[in-house]
Amino acid sequence: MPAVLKRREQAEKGLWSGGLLFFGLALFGSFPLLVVIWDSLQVEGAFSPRNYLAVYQRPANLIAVVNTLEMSALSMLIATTLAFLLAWLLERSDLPGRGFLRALFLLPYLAPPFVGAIAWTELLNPRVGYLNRLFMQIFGLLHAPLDIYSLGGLVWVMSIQEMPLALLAISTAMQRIDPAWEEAARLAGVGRLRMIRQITLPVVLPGVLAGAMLVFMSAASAFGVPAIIGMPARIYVVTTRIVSYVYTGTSQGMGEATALAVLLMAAGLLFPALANRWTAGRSNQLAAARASRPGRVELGRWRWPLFFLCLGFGMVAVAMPLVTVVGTSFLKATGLPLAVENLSLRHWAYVFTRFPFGLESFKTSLLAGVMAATLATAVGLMISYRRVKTHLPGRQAADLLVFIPFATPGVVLALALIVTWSGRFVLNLYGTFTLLVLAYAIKYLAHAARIVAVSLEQIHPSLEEAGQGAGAGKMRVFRDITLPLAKSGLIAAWFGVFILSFYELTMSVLLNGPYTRAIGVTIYELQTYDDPQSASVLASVVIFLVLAASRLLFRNRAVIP
Amino acid sequence: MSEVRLVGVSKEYAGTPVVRDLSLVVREGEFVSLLGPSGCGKTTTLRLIAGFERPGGGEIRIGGQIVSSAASGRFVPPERRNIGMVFQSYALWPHMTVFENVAYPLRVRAGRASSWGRSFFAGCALFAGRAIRKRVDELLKMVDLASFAHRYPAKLSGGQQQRVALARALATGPETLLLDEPFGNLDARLRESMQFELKRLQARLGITVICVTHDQGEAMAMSDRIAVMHRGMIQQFDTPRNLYEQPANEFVAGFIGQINLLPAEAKTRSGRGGSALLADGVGRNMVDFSYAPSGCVAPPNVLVPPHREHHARGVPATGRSGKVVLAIRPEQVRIGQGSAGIPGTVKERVFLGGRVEYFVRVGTLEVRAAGDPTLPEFAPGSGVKLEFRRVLAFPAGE
Ligand SMILES: Nc1ncnc2c1ncn2[C@@H]1O[C@H](COP(=O)(O)OP(=O)(O)OP(=O)(O)O)[C@@H](O)[C@H]1O
Ligand SMILES: [Mg+2]
Repeated sequence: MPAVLKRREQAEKGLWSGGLLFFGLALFGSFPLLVVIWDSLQVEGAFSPRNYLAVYQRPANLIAVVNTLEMSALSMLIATTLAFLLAWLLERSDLPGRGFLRALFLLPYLAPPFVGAIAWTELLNPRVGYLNRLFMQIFGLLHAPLDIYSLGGLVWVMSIQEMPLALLAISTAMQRIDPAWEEAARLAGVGRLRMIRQITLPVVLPGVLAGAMLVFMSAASAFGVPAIIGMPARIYVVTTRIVSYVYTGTSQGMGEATALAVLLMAAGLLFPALANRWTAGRSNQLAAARASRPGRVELGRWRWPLFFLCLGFGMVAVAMPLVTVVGTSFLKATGLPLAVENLSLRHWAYVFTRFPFGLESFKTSLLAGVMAATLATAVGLMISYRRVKTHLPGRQAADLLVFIPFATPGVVLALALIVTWSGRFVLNLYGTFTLLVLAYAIKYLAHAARIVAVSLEQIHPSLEEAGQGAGAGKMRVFRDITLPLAKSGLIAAWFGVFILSFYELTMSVLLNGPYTRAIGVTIYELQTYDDPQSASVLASVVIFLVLAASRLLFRNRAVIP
Repeated sequence: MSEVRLVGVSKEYAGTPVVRDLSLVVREGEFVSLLGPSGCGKTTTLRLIAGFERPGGGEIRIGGQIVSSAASGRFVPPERRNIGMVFQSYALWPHMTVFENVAYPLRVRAGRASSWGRSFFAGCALFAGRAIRKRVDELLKMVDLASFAHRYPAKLSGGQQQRVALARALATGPETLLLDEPFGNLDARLRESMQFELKRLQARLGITVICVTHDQGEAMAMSDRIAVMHRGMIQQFDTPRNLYEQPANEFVAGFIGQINLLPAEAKTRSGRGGSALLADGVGRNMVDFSYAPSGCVAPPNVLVPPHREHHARGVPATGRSGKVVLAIRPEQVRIGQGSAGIPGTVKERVFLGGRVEYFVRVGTLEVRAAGDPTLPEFAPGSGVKLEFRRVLAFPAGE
C-alpha cells in the first residue's frame, strides 16, 4: 500500500526541507553578523581590542556615538509624547474625523524617510527655505530664523518620521483598554486629566514603552535623515560614520567601522529583548478581552478646537512636506514661489532622458523590489506554514534566524554582507544585483513572515482537515484551500516588502555597484550633490508609486470574502 | 458499510492521557454515539478514527484494514480512509460556493483516478465534469438545498450550512461517516428535524455512523448503541435502553437520565442482591437492592483487556467496608401515604408538563420521586411513605 507512510519518513522529509531553509537563512542573515563580530576583534590578522578602543579614543567616533544617543533619545521623547496624545484622541475620544486623521498621521510610515528629509531642507534651509522666507516676511527679520542643518532640525524631522511607529504601538494598546475602567473612574468622580494620568497611562504603559523603544532603535539605525540633514552640518551619527568609513575604504577604517557596527547591532538586539522581558510581566493586565464596543470619552466643547489643532499639525508635519517635494520637482528653479508661471517639466524631462542614472535606477529598484518581495513572501510562507500548521521541530530556531537580521540595523547588515560575501567564502557577490535582492529579502523577511503567519492562523485547522477528509493529499489541500484563504495576507506581505525594498536607502548605499544603483541612492546623491530638484523628481515618483501600491493593497483587501 | 474497530487505543497530549486504552467495535451499518461530559476525549477519539491524530498506543481498523497502529507505525492518512466527516464548526470553505464545496471531494477523486487514466482517455475530464455536476445536484436535492448551489457559505443559515457539510461529507459515498456534535449550533426545533433526517438518510444509505455528542437525548434518539465516555475511558457501551435500565457503574447511572444516588451500608447479601441501611442520619431505613447486573457491563463488543477489567466491570458490588451507593430512578420510587415504606416529608413539588415530581426529605437525604398521576397530589410539608422498586447498588467511593 503506497499511501501508507511511515511516520519517521514523513518527519525526515520535513526535517530535510527545514534544514535547507534554515541553512539558507543563516548563511545570509546571521552568519555574516558573526563574521563582522570576528572581524571587529582582529587587527592585522591578530586578536586585539584596538578597534573598540578606537571608538573611545578617536573623538570623531565618540562624538558620533554621543550624537546618536542624543538624537535618538530626543526623537523618542518627542515622538512618543505626540503619539500618546494623538493615540488617545484617536482611539479613546470622540474626536471628529478620526479615520481621516489616523490615515494622515500614518502617512509618513508609508513614505520613505529621506523624502521627509528632502522636504524639510526645502522648507527650512537657511538660504531659500520657504518657511524661513515666510517668517522673514511676516516678522520683518533680516536673517532666517531657523536652520534645518542642526541637531534640532535633525531631531524634528526624525521625530515626525518615527511618530507613526509609536502611534501604531500605542494605539494597539489603547484599543485593548476596557472602557468600563475609564467609566468606573469617571463615576468615582475623577476628572478627565486625572483619569488619563491614573487609569489610562498606567494601563497602556507597556505599549507606550514598546513604542518608545521602537522609535529609539529606529532612529539610532536610521541613515537617510542623518545623512541628508546631519552631514551638511558635519553632525555625524554612528550610521553615517560607518558609511563614510566604508567609502574611504582603508583597512583601519574598516576595522573601526566593524567595531561601531557591532556596538550598534548589540544595541539593536539587546534593547528589544530587555524591553520584552520588562513588559512581559506587565502586559497580563491587557490580556482581558476587548469590549465589543468601546465607549469613547466625550471631549465636549474641546471637540472641534482639538480637531483643528490635530488637522493643523497634520498638515504642517505630514502633508506640507509631501506637497513641497512634489511641487519643487515642477519648479523652474529652487526657491521660486509655487505659481503657475514658474512651473515647468524641465527637471522631469532631464531626469528621465539625459540624466544617466534616473531611469536605470528606477528600473533597478523596481526589479529588486519585485524579486525581494517574491523571495521574502515565499520563504515567509514556508516558515510561517511550518510554525503555524505543523509540529515540526526547530520553530524557535527559525524565529530567531528571521528576527536577527530584522533587528540588526540596515547599515550593519549591509556591511556584514559585504565583508562576508566578497569572495572570502567562495562566493563573491559584492556589487551584484543578487546581493541587493538578498539583502532586502532577508531584512524584510520578518515583516512578510509575520503577516503571512497571522493570515494562516486565521484559517481554522478544520477547514484543512475537511480537505483531507475529502480525499485531498497535503499538497492539494495546501493548493486548493490554504493558499486561496491566505491570499490576502500573501498579497499584503508582498506589497509591504516591495515598498520597503523599492525605496530602501540605508543598505543600498553600501551595496551600491555599477549596475546596482537603487533609486534611493540616486535621490540621495542628487540631493547631496546639489541638484535637489532632480532629487525631488525621483522622490515624487517614489511617493506616487507608494501611494498607488497602498491603494491597490487596501482595495484588494476589501474584495476578499 | 465498514466495521470500525479500536483495540487498546490511547492518546496523550504533552504527557496528559486523553484517551486511555480504549477498545470499541462498531458494526457495519451501525449508528453509534460517543457520549460524555465535556473534555472526556470524544473529539479526540473521533479524530483518531479519522486519522487527524496518531494513536500513542493500540490499533485502529476500518473495514478490516489496519489504518493506524502504534506498534508497527503503520498509518493511513485521512485522505485515504474513505470516510466522510461533519465538523463541529462545519468547516465549509469560505472561498467556495455551496456547489464547489460539495463538488470538491468528487473533483479530487476524479483527478486521482484520471492521473493514470489520462493518457488513455482524453475525454475523461469532460465526462467526469458532467458526472460530478449530476452527482452534486443530486446531493443538494437530497439535503434540500438545490436552489442555494451558487451561494457562498457565509450567506447561509446555521441549519443550511450544516446540511451543506453533510452533503459534502457524503459526496464520494464514504463507507463511514463521522460527526462531531453536528447539531450543536442549531436551535432545538431544527435540531430535532435534522436528527430525524440524518437517521433516515443513514437507514437508506446503510453506512456506518459514529457521532459525537454531549446531548444524551440526541444520542438516545438516534443511536443503535451508545458508548458512554468518562476521562478518556469507555464506561459502558450498550443500547440506549440498557444504559438507562442497567447502568454498569455509578458514573453511567448518574450521567444518563435522572437518578437518585443514595449512600448506604450493605448489611445482608445474597447471590443476586441484599439489603442495605440508608446513611440518612435516621439509621433504621433498610432498602433491598440487586447487584448491578454484571452481565451487561461488558457487552461482547467491548474488548476489555484483562488488567483493565475493573474499570468497566466494577469491583464486586460492595467494598470491604460494605459501603455502597444505591441508584434509584425517580419513576422507580413509589410515593404514597400507606403504612408501608420509608417515611419522609415533601419538600418541594415541581410541575414538569406531563407529570409531577417531588423532592422528599428522608433524614439528611433528599429523594426525587415521580408522582403517580392516578393519585391526588401531595402538598409541600405533608408526610409521605416511599417505596423503592428497582434498586441497584454500586461500590461506594469510585
Ligand atoms: N491539541 C491538544 N493539545 C493539548 N490538549 C488537548 C488537545 N486537544 C484536546 N486536548 C485535551 O484533551 C482533552 C479531551 O479533549 P476532547 O476535545 O477530545 O474532548 P471532548 O470530549 O470532545 O469535549 P467537548 O465535549 O468539550 O468537545 C481535553 O482535556 C482537552 O483539553
Ligand atoms: Mg469535542
